[in-house]
Amino acid sequence: MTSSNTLKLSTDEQKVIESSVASIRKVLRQHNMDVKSIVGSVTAADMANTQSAVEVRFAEGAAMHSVMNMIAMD
Amino acid sequence: MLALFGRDAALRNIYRLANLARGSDPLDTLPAIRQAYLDFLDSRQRGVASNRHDDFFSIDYAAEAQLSAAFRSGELDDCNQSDIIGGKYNSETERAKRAIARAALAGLFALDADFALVFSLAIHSIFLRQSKRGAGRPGSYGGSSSASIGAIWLTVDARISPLDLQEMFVHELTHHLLFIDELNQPQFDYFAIAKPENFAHSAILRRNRPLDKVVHSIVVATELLLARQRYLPRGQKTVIHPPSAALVRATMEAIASVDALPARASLMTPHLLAIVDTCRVACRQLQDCPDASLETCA
Repeated sequence: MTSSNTLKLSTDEQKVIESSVASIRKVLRQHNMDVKSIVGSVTAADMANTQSAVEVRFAEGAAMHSVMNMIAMD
Repeated sequence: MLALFGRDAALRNIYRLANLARGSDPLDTLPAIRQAYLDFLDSRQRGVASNRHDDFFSIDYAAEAQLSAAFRSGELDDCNQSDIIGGKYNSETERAKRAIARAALAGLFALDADFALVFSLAIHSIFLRQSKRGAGRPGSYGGSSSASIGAIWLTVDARISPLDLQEMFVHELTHHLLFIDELNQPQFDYFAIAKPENFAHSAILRRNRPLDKVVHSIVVATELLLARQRYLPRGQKTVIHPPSAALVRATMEAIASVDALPARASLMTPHLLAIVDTCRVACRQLQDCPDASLETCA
């Protein structure tokens, strides 16, 4: 589900976004980097750790979910 | 996390989550990684949709309500932070605040390319709402919730400067990079850290708080100190965060309070203990800096 479908932006706001250096697409395109060389070091063991940590964190119906919800103000 | 461990470490952590939601296309470009990372968040964060627009601030009312709701469920709620987000601003005020925040973020992106890249990958939404003040709880300038990774709440208080806002972006991105890190490697024993005897002293609010908040405050404070040293504008006062000399002292005190916990090795994983140790090394170097502002030391 996306949130942009129903958003009404004025023409001026749309222009600001398109010209902004903080435009997400612009930032990502500016970095013409070799992504493969960076993520290439991720191993199968790393991915298994991630899968396991994600399952714990998002365990459906587990009491842990609300305990772990961290609202950060500090 | 970005100043402490670098851009590539953050990118790898985001990639590892994106890889869990990848389709048939390879994740060999930044936009492809971002798309799959948002797919991952949407598949896991119940009732919270990520913003796919090219603008962080382009969020409709329904999505904003979802993001606000994500701040309302947390059992380690020591400062009543689950009831801190107030109502919407009127549309004229909201537009003005959004313009101020957008300009501050654009300025920050121009100061540090790595920050711009990692922020653009990790964060999808910035929404504006008022802050409620209540008994035992100060008002807030904004915040983040692990139940809505990628979304930042800001108040854009009239008293704060563009530099304060830029520090808020550094502050909030650090929380999100810690949340993302935790999805890759566990950090806490959550049942044990809920016990008051396992609380420690936080670095920014300077209160006795649950350990997850304290460790986040230590990492946030260290990242702020390093960002000030490396790329944030110098010589301007800030309202939200204290001057660097005071902040580094408070951060070392927070680290000492964590060290003093008898059960620390069972409350935190070795991975998280290593993160705290990295903060300790960085803060010691800053403490040894002969410049009282700490901002000119390499």
